[in-house]
Amino acid sequence: MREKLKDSVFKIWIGLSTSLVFIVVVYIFLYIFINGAGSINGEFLFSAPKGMPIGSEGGIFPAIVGSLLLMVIACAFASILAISTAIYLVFYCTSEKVKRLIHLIIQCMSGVPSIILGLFGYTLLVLHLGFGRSLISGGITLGVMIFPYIQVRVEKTLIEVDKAVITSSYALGVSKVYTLFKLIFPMCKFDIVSAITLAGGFAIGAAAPVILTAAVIFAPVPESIFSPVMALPFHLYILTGEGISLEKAYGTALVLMLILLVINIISVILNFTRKEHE
Amino acid sequence: MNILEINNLNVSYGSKQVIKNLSMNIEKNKITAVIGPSGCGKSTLLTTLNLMIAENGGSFTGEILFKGKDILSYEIDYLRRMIGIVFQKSTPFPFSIYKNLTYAPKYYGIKDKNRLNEIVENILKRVGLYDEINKNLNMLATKLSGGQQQRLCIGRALTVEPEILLLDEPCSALDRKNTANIEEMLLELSKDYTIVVVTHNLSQAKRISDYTAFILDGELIEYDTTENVFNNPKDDRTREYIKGIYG
Amino acid sequence: MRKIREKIFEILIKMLTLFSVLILAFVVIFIFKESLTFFKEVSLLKFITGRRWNPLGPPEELSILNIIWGTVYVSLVAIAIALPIGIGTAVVLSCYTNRNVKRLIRGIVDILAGVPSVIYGFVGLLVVVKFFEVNLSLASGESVLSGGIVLSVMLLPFIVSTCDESMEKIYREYSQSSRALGVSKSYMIRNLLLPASKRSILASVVLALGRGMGETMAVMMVIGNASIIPRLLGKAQTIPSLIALEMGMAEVGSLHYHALIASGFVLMIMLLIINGLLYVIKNRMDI
Repeated sequence: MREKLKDSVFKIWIGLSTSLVFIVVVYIFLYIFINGAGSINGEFLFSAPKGMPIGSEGGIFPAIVGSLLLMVIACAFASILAISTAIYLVFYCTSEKVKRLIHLIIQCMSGVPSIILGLFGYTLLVLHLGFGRSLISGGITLGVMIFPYIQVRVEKTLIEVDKAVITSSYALGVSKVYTLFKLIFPMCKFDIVSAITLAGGFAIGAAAPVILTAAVIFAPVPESIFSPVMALPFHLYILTGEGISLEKAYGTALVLMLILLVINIISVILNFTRKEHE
Repeated sequence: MNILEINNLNVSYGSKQVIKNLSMNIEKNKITAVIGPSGCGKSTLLTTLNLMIAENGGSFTGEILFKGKDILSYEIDYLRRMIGIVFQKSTPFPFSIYKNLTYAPKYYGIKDKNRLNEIVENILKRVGLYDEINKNLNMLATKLSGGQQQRLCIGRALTVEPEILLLDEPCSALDRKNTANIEEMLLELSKDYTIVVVTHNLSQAKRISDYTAFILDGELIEYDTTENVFNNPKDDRTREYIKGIYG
Repeated sequence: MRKIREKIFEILIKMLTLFSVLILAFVVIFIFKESLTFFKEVSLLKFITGRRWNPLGPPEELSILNIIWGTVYVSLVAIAIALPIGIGTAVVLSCYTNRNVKRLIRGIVDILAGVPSVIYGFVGLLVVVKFFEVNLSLASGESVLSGGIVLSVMLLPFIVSTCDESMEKIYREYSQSSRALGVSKSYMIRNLLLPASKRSILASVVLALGRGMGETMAVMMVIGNASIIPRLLGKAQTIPSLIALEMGMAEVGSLHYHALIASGFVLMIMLLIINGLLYVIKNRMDI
């Protein structure tokens, strides 16, 4: 009898938990899609914020562009470093000790909260190096944030390449660099691009690092990498936090979610294409 | 004429010695079969000949002469180009057939489209794939059948114009028909290339090779013309091995 | 020519790797160096045991005990909420589903992990905070509890995936022999699987604690950001939100500026201890 009761309580518990996870996800999406859909139109997407206080009218075009540019810079910065590190660890590093040390450091890096990276970007890039609040400061800070994410995935992809295929390339008398560029990269390109894309999504949604390093309440579409920019997450925070316009906030949240959706769809397609190729 | 001369070769992985004091010469434009039970050092011998042994974590002492000169005196790229190797498991690159065959020629600086097409056509004819896949050069090499993949890999090794072709059990994963195809192809190729083939399959060695070497526990037990080794072995161990397999 | 290019590439790769590794050192050294200036003026002990944070003065008081408590409190509330839900979901995921449902649930959990924190803060502010204000007629819905609820959703993916991983292994290992004894599945899970997963559950709690304490936006938008002694239904402040809110306003080089960096330093040390703990737990898990 007691066993039966325990059994039921247990099943109710795990059933409720799983349902709750589903409900929360569906709720958040529906909430933003339903409330935000009405705010989105051509003007909202393609014009600058207007009104007094700024943002209460007009659109979010500079924020969309700013966020995308921040993402591109972050991805470029992070992927150059991450892919290099992965290549070094898989193809050049011969000492197990060095490998373990680098892995440890990268793991630590992924545990550093984004606000600390923001603080670092602010003191080093914005103040000491004099970049100011700018596209470049924010991009690099976000790049540092997504570096471990890309590195871990690229390394995994490179390790998984069939050793026999690499050996047969060397057996043709072909050099390591040629093998890397003509054989291994083409084999792994979908996985690498997919890792970078997902990391880009992570970067575009991050607000904490850009608050201190790049984002301002209002700026036009940036002219150079040293210009301050608007960013979607920060804009959303300002619109709600300062109570400027709830309607515009819903719209901004929806645009941010839609961009992330597109990024994730791209990565799914990339994965799918890769499987087709095999 | 001997294209390869191996003198007092010792190969070891760490403290484990895999090949012991092995000396043999390999004649140009002949097929030499290397037989022996698994783990006897046959494959190690092949990887030593084109110096891939170091990358696999092994080392060797002794002397190997390629065309009368120590292999260590050649540039490693050049040596590997001259001594091609094909492994047991076929390893087509996950690209098109065309790209598999132009991969190495492009590395060696051949950019001209016509020249590349010519190479691809020649190679495909040599390995007997021309009629089967000529129209499908853009097909993924990984979609070929097992036997076709192996022939493509042999073809790929030929694209760098080697003088010697080392084959490590090239047919062990194939059925009879594909094996027969490859054997026929090897006989054809031996007119232009020196071939060293490691095999488990004694009847295959008998069918295609001119010379046979029997290796046991890293030692060369017997090395003679294939006819002598199979019909008139001098060493008891050779006789036992050949008998043992035949039952 | 080719040899030179090979060598150049190798050197380039090595230099970029070195640079990447040094960035972490940069982060730590920079924050340490900048907070050192502060600790010359105010002792570390006073900084972390004093309760008053009043950077604008007078008198200028810069101590963060309340804020440290706030940081830990919100995370603990979030874990208390997320843990039962996360474990429940992980159990379903590892024991009760076939491959397709597994993929669906994992997908949902991945989505949860992919939503930006500012969106959580936004929805939290408009839904959770408002709910408290309207239904419980609190003066302000911004509270530790609101922060904990919002944060719990964000921590769920970490808990689910950490637990699921080891639970699946344990389930595969023992389900057959347990079934042979004629014991029901739920009995096996309650009496064998859950006790055997203790360590990974602990690991997930520690991991979630680290993530929660470092979270900025979602918490900052719903917690009220008042540096007072935190209570469950009252406002509070966390270190990340303190930095995010005040860093931009603090005059560069002032004591306030250095105090903010020092608080980041304190946060980093706390997370380092937590990660060290996690490392120990994980290493013991394999034995």
